[in-house]
Amino acid sequence: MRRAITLTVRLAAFAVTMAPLAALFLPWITLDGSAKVRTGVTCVALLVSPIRDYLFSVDPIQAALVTLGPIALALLSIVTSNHYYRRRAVIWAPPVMLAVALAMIYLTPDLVSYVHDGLRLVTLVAILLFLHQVAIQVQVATRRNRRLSWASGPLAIATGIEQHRSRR
Amino acid sequence: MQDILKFILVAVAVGVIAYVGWTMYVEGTRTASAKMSESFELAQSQAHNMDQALISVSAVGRDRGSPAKVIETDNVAEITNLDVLLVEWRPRYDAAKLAYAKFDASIANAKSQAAGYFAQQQSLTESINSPEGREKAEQEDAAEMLLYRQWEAQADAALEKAAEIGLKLDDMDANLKKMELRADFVFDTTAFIEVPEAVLELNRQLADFQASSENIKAVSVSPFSAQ
Repeated sequence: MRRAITLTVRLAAFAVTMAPLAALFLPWITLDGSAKVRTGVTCVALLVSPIRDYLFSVDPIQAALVTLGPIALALLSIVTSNHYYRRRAVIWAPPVMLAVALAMIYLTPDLVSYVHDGLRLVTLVAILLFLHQVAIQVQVATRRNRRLSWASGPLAIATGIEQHRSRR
Repeated sequence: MQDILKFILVAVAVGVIAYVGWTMYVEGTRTASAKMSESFELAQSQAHNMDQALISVSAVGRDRGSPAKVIETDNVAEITNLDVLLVEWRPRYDAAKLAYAKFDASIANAKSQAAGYFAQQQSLTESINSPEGREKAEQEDAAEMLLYRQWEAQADAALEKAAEIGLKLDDMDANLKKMELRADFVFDTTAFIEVPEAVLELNRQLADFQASSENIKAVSVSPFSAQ
């Protein structure tokens, strides 16, 4: 039973790490002045679109966030998944993913007129993964601390990291 | 188990990379007319946004019920509450400046796409061997070019007027900043009267710009709206 729950949680966590890749096909943003809804993939395709020069002349940093942000998020998702299937902790990736997603939402007001559910989903996933990584670190800490060792077992099951290897 | 997860990860990653590559290929190989059409739509949309932003900024201090009222006595007037006025002014001024920059960039973008489109049309026309066919193609090119020139003239006129209004707004902003430094002030509000008048004139030019944009799309539906 204990092993089944741990395995289920572990598989669920792995599935969540790949959610940003699936979210690339969902609507992410609407650009100001355009009626088209852009998915994560079509945001990247803006790099070869006729309005690329317009975007980069209005604000190069915001344009880079809009066009390269999805690539960064996809790469971070792959890196995180890669660590998860090997049962290795990757504490740095989810916060970076969260920072990129939040930058795409809040630092592109001149170009983006509306943020859709795809990008919000990526943000939510980044938050969940970050909390999961924090929980892993807490579990490792409780395992080493005699006074808190009682919490180690339940935490290991709840986070599905019974056999996770910490970098510490 | 680990191998299965690895396989899933590799398969999904390869699938996503392939799809992104395919989408970029499709986007990059769209016809010149489709690219031009998208750029023109963007320019039209930004013209509308700029118009709204300038109307908004020209209404500062004049909104009915606004606490920051311009009290006019001949040409010189006092503004009753500078802090409230600044709270109204700053975001609208910033929005107007941004809207102008976006309109300018969208016009430049549409012009560069149009140049690509007409260069392709010309080279295709030159490749026609039959003299009659070539002459007909040249006439069609000339008609499209005429429409485009009209659009370009309207766009330039609207840009010029908007730039002129922008300069007035810059002056007003500088004056407001100077006023911030003084506790007791008397401010010549002529600019607050001039800007709305200039915006009215810009509205007329933007209506012409809109009409010529629609003309281009309506008359040459086939090339300009082809996907």
